[in-house]
Amino acid sequence: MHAPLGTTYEDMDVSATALASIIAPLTGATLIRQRIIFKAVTVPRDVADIGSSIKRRGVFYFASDDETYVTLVEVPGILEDMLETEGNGAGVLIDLSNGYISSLIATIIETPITDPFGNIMGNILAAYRQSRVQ
Amino acid sequence: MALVNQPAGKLTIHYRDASGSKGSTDFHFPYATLTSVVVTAADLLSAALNAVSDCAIDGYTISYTKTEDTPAAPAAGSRVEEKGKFIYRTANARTSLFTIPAIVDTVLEQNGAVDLGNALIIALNSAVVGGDLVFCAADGSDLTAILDAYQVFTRTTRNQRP
Repeated sequence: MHAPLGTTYEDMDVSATALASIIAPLTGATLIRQRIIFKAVTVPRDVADIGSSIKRRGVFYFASDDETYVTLVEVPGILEDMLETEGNGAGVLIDLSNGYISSLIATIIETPITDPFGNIMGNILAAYRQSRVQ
Repeated sequence: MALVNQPAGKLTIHYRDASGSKGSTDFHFPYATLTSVVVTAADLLSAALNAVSDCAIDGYTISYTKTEDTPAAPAAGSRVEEKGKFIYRTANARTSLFTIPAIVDTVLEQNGAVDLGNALIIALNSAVVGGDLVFCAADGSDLTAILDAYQVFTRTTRNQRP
C-alpha cells in the first residue's frame, strides 16, 4: 500500500492497523510483520566516478560510551584519499584525522545512531578499508 | 498477540558504482525518533558520505518495522501463492492494485472472480476508497473505485516450498 507524500508515521500506523483487521478474515495466512517505509530519491541521478566500485568499502566500528555494544557502518566506494599513507596501516586504515572522515563520524555520532537493538553509539573504535569478493 | 515495534528503525543509504552495481550503508536509530528528524539526519549523512565515496548516492529509505509477538496459526492448507488481486481506479484515470495472500475461498465466485457483493469485500472497498485510511496509488492519486478483483496464482519460490 502507498500513502500520500507528507503522511506521518502515526497516521500510516493507524491505517495499517485498521486495514490489517479488515484483511484478516479475508486470508488464511497470518500477519507476522508490518513495515512502514519512507523513500527519498536523488534527482537528477548523480554519475558515479570512473573506476568506482561498491566492493571497495570503508568499514567503521562504532561503540557505545562504555564500549559494551558495537555496531558496524560500511561505506561502499571509499575514496583512496581517505586512507592513511604512512605507517603500518598505510593503504588500509582510514585516516580519522581527515577532515571529511571526522565530519562524517561527527555527523553519525550526533544523529545519533544505534545498534539494531537501540543502544546509542557514541565512539568510533576503528576504521579501515575492506574489499569484498572481486 | 500484538504487533511490537523493533528496538530501532533503519536508515539505508543507496549507492551505485561505475559498473551499475548497487550497494548500501545501514544505520539504526531509536524507534521513537520522528521521521522528520531522521530525514534531516539522512540528508546530512548522505552529504557526508558523498564526500568520502566515489560512488553515486541514489537516495535513501527509512523503515519502521513491527513484528507480531505471538502470530496466530495459519489456516490449514493456506498458500500465499494464491492471492486475491484487487485493481482500483484512481483519481488521475489510472489504476492501482494490491494483493491479499492466501485469499479465502468463501469470498470467491466459482470462476475465480472476487465476489464484490460479499460483506467482507464491501467492507474492504469501503475502507480503501471512502474510509479514513491514508492509502493511495504509488503516484499519490486517490483510489476512487474498485475496477476488478480476482484470484491469481503466483509461482512457488524456493522459500515458499513446504
